[in-house]
Amino acid sequence: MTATSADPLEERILARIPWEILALAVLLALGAGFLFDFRTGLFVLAGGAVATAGFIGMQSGLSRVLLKPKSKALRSGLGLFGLRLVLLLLIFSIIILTYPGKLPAFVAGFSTVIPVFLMEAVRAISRTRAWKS
Amino acid sequence: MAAQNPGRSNFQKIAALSSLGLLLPSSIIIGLFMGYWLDKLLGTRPWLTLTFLILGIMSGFLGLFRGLKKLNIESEDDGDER
Repeated sequence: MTATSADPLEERILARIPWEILALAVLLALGAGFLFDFRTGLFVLAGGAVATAGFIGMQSGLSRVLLKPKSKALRSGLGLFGLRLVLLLLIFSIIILTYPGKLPAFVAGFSTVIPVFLMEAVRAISRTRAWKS
Repeated sequence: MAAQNPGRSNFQKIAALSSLGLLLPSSIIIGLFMGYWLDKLLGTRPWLTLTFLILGIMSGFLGLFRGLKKLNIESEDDGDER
């Protein structure tokens, strides 16, 4: 995850994931914009952006927490995850309370993280197979 | 172990981090959809969506903490072996 602890392959995969999430969200947003309306597309894109920001935040947070000594790691980990919890709750609550009809669109954008992870998992498995043979 | 198969160890680490990264969004999504569906069914909009969102986030963070703890223990074990 960091220059001191990770190898180039791991670094490359972790750096690629946020861009893939965003690219998939843009594609989905374009599709939703054409199929439904502009605002739906915008919500899909916003969901993808939140998922990307969440992944980047968690990636840097996790690497910082894992590199710290155990006593400090617990405190900073709790602070970091507490902040994330409040932020996520705030974003979703605002959408639920102000645009409840657009919640599925936002969640669809937010879900782009799942196919991206699955794609990366399949890639890693195929690479492991090649490495084994 | 890691010294024997560095490639495999890296993939295991990537797999562990990926599953941790996937845990939170999937819990939130499942919670949200359950709440949204129940709200539509019972006409209680938006309270059940909010409740299940909170439950989803909580369960996601709980799983994240457990995974992180496990990852921390494993990395400590790796350090001991070396």
